[in-house]
Amino acid sequence: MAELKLKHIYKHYGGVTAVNDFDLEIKDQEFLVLVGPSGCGKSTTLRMIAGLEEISEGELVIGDRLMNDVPPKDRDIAMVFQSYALYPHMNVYQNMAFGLKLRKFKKDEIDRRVREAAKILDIEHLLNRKPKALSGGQRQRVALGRAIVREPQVFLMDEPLSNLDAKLRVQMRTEISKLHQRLKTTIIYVTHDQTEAMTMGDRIVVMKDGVIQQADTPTRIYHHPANVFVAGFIGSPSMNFIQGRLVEKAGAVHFRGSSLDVKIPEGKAKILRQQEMVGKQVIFGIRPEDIHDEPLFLDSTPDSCFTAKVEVAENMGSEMYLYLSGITDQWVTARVNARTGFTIGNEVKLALDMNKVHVFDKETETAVF
Amino acid sequence: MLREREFSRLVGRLEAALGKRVRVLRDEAPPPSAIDSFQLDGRHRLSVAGGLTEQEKALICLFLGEWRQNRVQEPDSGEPLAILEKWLKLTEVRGGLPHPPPSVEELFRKERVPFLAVHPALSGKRMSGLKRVVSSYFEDQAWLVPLNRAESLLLLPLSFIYGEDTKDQKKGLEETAQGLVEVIITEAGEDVRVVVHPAVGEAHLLPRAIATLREVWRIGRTHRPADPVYTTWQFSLEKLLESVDEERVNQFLADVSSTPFWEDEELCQTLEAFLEQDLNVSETARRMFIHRNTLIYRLERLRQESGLDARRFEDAVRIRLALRLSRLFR
Repeated sequence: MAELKLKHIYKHYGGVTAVNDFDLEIKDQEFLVLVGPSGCGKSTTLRMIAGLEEISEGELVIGDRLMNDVPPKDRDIAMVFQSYALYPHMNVYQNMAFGLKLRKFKKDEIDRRVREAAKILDIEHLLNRKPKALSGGQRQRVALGRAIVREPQVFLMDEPLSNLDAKLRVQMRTEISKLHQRLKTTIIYVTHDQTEAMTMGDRIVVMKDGVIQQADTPTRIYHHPANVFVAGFIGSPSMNFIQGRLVEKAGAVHFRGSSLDVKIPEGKAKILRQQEMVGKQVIFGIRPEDIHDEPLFLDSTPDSCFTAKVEVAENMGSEMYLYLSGITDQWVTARVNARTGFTIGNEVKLALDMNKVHVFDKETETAVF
Repeated sequence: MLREREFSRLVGRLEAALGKRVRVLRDEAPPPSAIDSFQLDGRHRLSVAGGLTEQEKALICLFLGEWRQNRVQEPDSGEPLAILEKWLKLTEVRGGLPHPPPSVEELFRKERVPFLAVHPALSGKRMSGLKRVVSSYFEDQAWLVPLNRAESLLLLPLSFIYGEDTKDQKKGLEETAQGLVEVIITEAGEDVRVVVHPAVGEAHLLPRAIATLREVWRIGRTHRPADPVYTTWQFSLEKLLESVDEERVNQFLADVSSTPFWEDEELCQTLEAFLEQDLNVSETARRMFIHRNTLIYRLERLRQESGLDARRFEDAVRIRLALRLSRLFR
């Protein structure tokens, strides 16, 4: 069993609280991703699980054993760090076997585990090579192999791909996901990169200033962010935010910003009325892909159309990002079809998909929907 | 010499505590009358003038007990490594560079690379665990000498790192230090940072090498706190800047920018990354997991607020200096 329970965990450094009431249960075989900006406490949390940092308050339970005072080497955990290094004087086989040799495993057991891990990682042909003769991706696999051979209860990975180039990172991302399916072990993975978080995790924990902002599946995090921070952090380009007020107009609820007036669909309006949000200042959120330029869409949603000036158009090949002015004091980003022609400086007519909009309380920044 | 220094320190502490004259006498000298005396070691006694109360006697016994526990033994016998450890402690106590005993000189027949490992304060059991991992990792060729509970010195034959290939020595030393950090964290479960120094060929150079390692550790913690490995050949700019006095630093910072951008942690990280990536916007954005427009926005904000354009070489130099100098007096 490798279920983890982090019960109201705190980490204090002098007067600074780096992790604040982290309370979470991680299921056996779950792939959990901790994501957030620098200094949000995600690596500190991981290091407390590893035993490299003392837990100031709270309890860490792995399986049914309280781990707070168990030394790191006795926690049955394997770690792969951002700054991972291979043992330069040993070949790949020795790199992977060293930990087992130290624990006095029998030779044939060591050999079985090393060859099995090498097969999983497709590095059998590299076993006799020294690290300096390996590419970045191959080194990364060996570092993973060193962790795999230990057959731990839990894998802890702290930004293991951040030193790789973009192409290799995408490839290794898939490899690690496949590895998780094959090994069926609990993995706790720390990253800055929201794309990694979205593509790899069964569940994502978004952190800020040492506090969990939201812990949920990637889909729910993306489509139902708990607050403005999560909504802005997950998604690239990030969600557009427009400040304004909710008003009642001709039996419908409208969002009114400085240069935008759009009708909220009745289902969502009902929620806003129930929560007494009408008349209040709110933050209105819309993702770039929920802003449309297709004529059919514009015709069918006259209540959510608006015009804006194209400041920048970034052609990404399969799609185009338009950076638009005139809606709020900041540019609004729209993701549109790359084949549509746009001229920088021209006015363009677009429409919002009002079924996908988000409304946040301006005071608390928490989501209404 | 060492013994005299130890005696003098003890006498000073006792005189301050008792307010009475305290002397160290050779055992053969007869004690003056009306003086209380206490045995220090096989050849010396401590004498205190003016008669003592029971509390004062108890206090002296307490001081003596502590002194006996902490005093440093002369390195005159034992295994060579134990002698090396004692000799290194002696050099610290004396604050000078005493000549190494012959058995220590003998240890340096091969050139050895000193690594300073800085770790949490370790109990005897955990230190033994660390020694076992390091010894096994370096195939019994490394010596691990505890300098204190939180610092250990590792001495590794240069030939172990390079064999016959002595090309690109610095890279080899750095990779060895990185491997050492990795093995200590993953196999001994101890959080560690390592500083590496070029090989030392003679024992008497070792205390100076240790001082350099410690200096680099201090500088590294200030300027690159997240790095697990430092080398004594990095930080040349930082070492130079440390010689500048605070007033001049403040003057420079005031001249560079009227808004203290170096106090904005997020902007500092962005600028550090941008400078490290040779002012490459795309690569910096990728490394920082931010959209390139976010990076451009931050750089533009800096330009508007301070007049410094990080994309211009001249301004980039000023920014780097400001970032380094601002950390010195934080």
